[in-house]
Amino acid sequence: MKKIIPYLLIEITLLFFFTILFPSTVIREGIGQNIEGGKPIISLENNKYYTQEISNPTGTLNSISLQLKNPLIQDNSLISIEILDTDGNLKRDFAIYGSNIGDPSWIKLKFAPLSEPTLLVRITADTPNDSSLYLFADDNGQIDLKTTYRYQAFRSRLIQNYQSQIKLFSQRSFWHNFSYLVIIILLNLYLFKLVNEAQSKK
Amino acid sequence: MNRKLKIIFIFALILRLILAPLFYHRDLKTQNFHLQFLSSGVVNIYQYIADHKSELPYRDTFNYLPLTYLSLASVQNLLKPLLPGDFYVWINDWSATQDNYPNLFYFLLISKIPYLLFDFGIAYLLYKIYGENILKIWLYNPFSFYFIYVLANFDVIPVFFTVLAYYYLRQNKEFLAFFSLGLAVALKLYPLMFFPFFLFYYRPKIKKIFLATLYLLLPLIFSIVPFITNSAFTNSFSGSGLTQKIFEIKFFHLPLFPLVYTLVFLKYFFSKTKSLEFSFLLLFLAFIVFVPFHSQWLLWFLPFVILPVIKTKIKTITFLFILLLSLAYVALINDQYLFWGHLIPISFDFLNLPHPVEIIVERFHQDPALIQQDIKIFVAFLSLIFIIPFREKNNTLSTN
Repeated sequence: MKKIIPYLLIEITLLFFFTILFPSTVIREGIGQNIEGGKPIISLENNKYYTQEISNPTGTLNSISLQLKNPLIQDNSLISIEILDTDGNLKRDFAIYGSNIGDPSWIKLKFAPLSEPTLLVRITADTPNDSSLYLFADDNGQIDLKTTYRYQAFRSRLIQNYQSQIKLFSQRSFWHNFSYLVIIILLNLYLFKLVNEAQSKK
Repeated sequence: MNRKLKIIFIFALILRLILAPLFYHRDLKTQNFHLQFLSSGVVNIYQYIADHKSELPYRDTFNYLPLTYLSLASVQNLLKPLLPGDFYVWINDWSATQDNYPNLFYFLLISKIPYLLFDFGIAYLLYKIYGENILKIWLYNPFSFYFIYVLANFDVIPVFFTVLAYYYLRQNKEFLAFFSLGLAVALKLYPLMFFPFFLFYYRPKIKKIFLATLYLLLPLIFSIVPFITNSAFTNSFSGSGLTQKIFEIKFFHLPLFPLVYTLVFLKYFFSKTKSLEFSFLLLFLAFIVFVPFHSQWLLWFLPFVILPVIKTKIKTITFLFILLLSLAYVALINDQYLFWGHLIPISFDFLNLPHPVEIIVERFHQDPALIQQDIKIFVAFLSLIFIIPFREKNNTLSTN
């Protein structure tokens, strides 16, 4: 019986390491909203506000990304990006120059976590004339937007990862799960038999 | 097969079944996307893609040989009953959420089953050629696992046929040896590079050289003749990168890898005790230093180079270090799917982590291309340990 234990330990350790320990160690933020697929159709006009709601169900929103286009990187207008709560109070604000915007590129803005369940992102260009910078959006005016939220402490992340792996497993095809587990168990039983035979021969 | 060998194989199988479905590479999806068309009667995949490009959800050309398409597509058909129902939805989904399928785990596991068979085939051949130690090294080293199951390209299949060819060559079965090598060439052209070494393993006469060349070319000729005049085929195939990359690094207009290749071959040709393994080790080192390689290409040499690198402890450690540097070189290619993207079957949040290139540029203000160059120079320096005939102590690992 003892001889099979190192084999089982290696299997369990590898599985635990790759599915739970390693992700819990390196992943400190999760993907929130992921709206993309729009086109550069919103031309940023001088001092006009472009807004979009951000949902923050975890209460730990720590970054937003917007997709912008600066054709031929010619426009160096200043762009302000503000995050407001539903009462209009300013929570975070950023200013970037057009020269930092690609043709096109995602602009990621990181900040200390915000706890409000609903927030608003407000974008405006500050130029003497209308800029030639474009914001990606779909035909309904929904702006391309990605958000991330910060995960909790390591121990909570371990638990969360364990739960998400169990959830992922339960979402998979039942028959595949069943067959997979049966094959792994049968192979281990066969290994157990082989190892025991080797031991009794000695 | 004795009990000890059974234990080695069964435990290796369990580890592969547990770990192989946890790693993803997009090549596996793109290949399966192309392979699905055989079941709808498409034999000329090159023409089909050219004719239907605008309607296809994935528009890249199929850049491999016809035998690869026909054989792998047949395998996909054979595996169909085992695949989850949404497999074909997945391979045709190229939207922003294209890999967001809970059954991704089983898509990967079942798609990798053929690789498992060839991987074990290589292990068994290595056992027959070199003995138990090399078998264990093959089955339990993380590098071959990475090349076969993480990168998940089909290179393991031609690699199997090249090892099979060497196995037959050692037994003086020339038809089987060169026909096996020919099958490998018909799947991917790189084993042509090995052909001169196989050909002059013994001192052949002109007639034997002619016959060996014929056996080698048979599978390739039979499989490409129906396509050779098809412009879609020639266009797709000319897009393949190996031939271009081999000639890319030059010194005074002289391509360096072909030059080293010629020198290694001449040394092999004129030496009395021919060591195919040592020659392939030199080619492997030259390949890392003088070719901007794709990581899965390193697998081509791996089964052959184990023997000369385990001769002494210092050589083993140096070789491991060279392999790690090669992986660091790959990590500096700015492609999230070649780094964190491998782990998306475990969690999609990995995609949100910064790529090493991003860290190097933003935090350390260094140019990744320069670091890649430095890695190549350092590998060249480390390679000296295999080239300069230092006095060696006793072997640390015997082959049996």
